[in-house]
Amino acid sequence: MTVQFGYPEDREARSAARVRALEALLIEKGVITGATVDKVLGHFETDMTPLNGAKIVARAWTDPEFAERLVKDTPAAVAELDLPIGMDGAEGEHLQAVANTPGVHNLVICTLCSCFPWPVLGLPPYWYKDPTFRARAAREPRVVLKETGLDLDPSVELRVWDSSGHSRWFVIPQRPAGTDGMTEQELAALVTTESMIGIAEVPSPAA
Amino acid sequence: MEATATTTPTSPLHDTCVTDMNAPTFDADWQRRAFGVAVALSEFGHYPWDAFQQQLIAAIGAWEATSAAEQGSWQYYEHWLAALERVLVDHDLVADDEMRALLGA
Repeated sequence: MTVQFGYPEDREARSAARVRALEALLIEKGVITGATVDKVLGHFETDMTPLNGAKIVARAWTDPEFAERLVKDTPAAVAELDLPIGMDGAEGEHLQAVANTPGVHNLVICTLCSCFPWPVLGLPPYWYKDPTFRARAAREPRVVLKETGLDLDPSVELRVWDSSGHSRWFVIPQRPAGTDGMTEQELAALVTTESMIGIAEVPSPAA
Repeated sequence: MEATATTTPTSPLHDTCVTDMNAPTFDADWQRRAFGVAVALSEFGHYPWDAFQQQLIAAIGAWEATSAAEQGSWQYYEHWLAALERVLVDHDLVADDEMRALLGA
């Protein structure tokens, strides 16, 4: 661990002890079982991953009518695909897709905490939860995008979507050049989490 | 904060953070357990997710309102844990005195 992100060992140990005691108490009181927690964690770690989002994006790239339905009623369109069960739970019921176009780029943030479309993107990356990122992405999104490597043309409209408990946004990035004739599966492999948050574009495989 | 905006750091985001497809999400097991407990309780109807979310927003808001000298380094899951403790008491899943005993331990 680097010094920059380190914090006192006892602080870490205290938090760990608090969680252990809390879980033990809830189990003792019969509120939950350890197995329940394991099952929920397993669901998040194996079923709800960015691979779901990548499959949704690849379908939208290859099926314009699906892309239209996806933006209009995201949960219903997502349900058409063969994805792990439970896509409509764990906040999946509030999924809302927004599509990038040549003239519009979308960026998803959560200024208040770290709302994130878990079922399609998994758990948020570290920086998404960072207080500086959250504040700056709301205040000067173009600058933040530029610093992270996405230099938007001034003519491109930038729409910033602030997530909440009721709207879990995710971005359908633009299909990159040089992907004509690729299968849906090959396309899905190109889609990154970053592109579905809107912090990056999907790089062309030819580049 | 503005100073951050005008400088051009060479690498504002870390490689491990922007290529998170396969990166671990939790830095420590206690973070993983705290996440699992909070979500499991909501999934099984012990409280609506909104209730947890509001406590998380409040915990993070309190940290952000504290002066830099006093707030200590950022640790997201500490706020997560604080929110969990509050929502458990709010929804009578853990009694006040039980929580005090637990925190005092």
